[in-house]
Amino acid sequence: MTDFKEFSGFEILERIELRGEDAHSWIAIVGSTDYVGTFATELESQSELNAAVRIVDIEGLLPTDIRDKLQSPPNDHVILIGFDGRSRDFWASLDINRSALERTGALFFWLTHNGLSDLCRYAPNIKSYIGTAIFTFIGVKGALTSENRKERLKELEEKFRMSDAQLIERAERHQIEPEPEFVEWLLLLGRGDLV
Amino acid sequence: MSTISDARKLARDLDAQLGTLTRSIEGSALAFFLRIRGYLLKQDRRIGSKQNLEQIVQYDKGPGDKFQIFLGPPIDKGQNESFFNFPSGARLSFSIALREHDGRCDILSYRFHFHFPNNHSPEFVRIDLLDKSHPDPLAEPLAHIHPGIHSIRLPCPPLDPIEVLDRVFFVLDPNTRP
Repeated sequence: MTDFKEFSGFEILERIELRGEDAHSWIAIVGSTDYVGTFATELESQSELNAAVRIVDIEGLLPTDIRDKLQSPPNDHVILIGFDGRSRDFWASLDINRSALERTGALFFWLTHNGLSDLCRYAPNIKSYIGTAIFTFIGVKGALTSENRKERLKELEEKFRMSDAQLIERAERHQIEPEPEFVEWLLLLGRGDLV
Repeated sequence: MSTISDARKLARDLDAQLGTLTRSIEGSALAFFLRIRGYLLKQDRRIGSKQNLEQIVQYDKGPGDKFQIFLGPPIDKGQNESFFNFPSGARLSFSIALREHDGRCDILSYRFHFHFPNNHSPEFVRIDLLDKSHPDPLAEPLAHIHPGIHSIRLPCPPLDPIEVLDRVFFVLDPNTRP
């Protein structure tokens, strides 16, 4: 199967946004279910209309059950999980009833590589609805790099004319003033125990 | 007549009250980071500032239960692309320190530095929350605003960082004023 480009949640949502306010936005995301909560939070945080986000586990559900869950309500954003190990018949039945899954809120299919393979093979109409909106999720970008950490530490040293070691020594003696910069500095040094 | 001793006593009492108002936020620190970035993204779209938010908003999960969120440099030494730059010419930088516990996070401290466009008086407004009370809360209250002068700190309630950002985007930015 084709390898899909890897994206952070932010990038995925940016691309969906670029596609416009499509009432039938169906998106497939390949990722670990460990990250689905994080993605849901990111989706909720970026939603312009403050639409609610639901994670729906479809394990053991029939297509009619899934339809009922998607339509009540039909206007929030839903992330479907639990597709792993579903039978060819399940996918075919879901595919035949795909129009019953249509809703005004966005619909995300959260899949493993195997799940995506099954969807593409056994549910061609759903795949057609999804189109090119298939992404591999790699988590949240934005962690401070070691280079950024060094730059921040250097700026703090310059401003307060004190070395990292001097700050730690003063903090251990409880001789630093309660300033947000000193908290930032100590945490950057991994000395949160002194805060 | 109130003496400076009286003023210091009142300031200590106020600091004690402010300390009871410091905020705790439901959810993980990473979830809060995503909320802050999502908030900035919506403001970015609203005012058309076209910031690269995935690059300029950063987090740092240190050892233990501490977590920091950053926008821009720790010291404002002049405009560059690491700030949230407003179409008005203003710029924003901040850092927020959090402690995670039991599915929540306490706000340890923060600093929000809003720099007005050039030739604006005052030059900046800074909103700070300290991690603990200062020995002289009359001079440096637990939560305070610098009204464009680094050495002057006026008390304010400890705000949720989202509430601070509301004041930045809907009150301080010159383009948002009526």
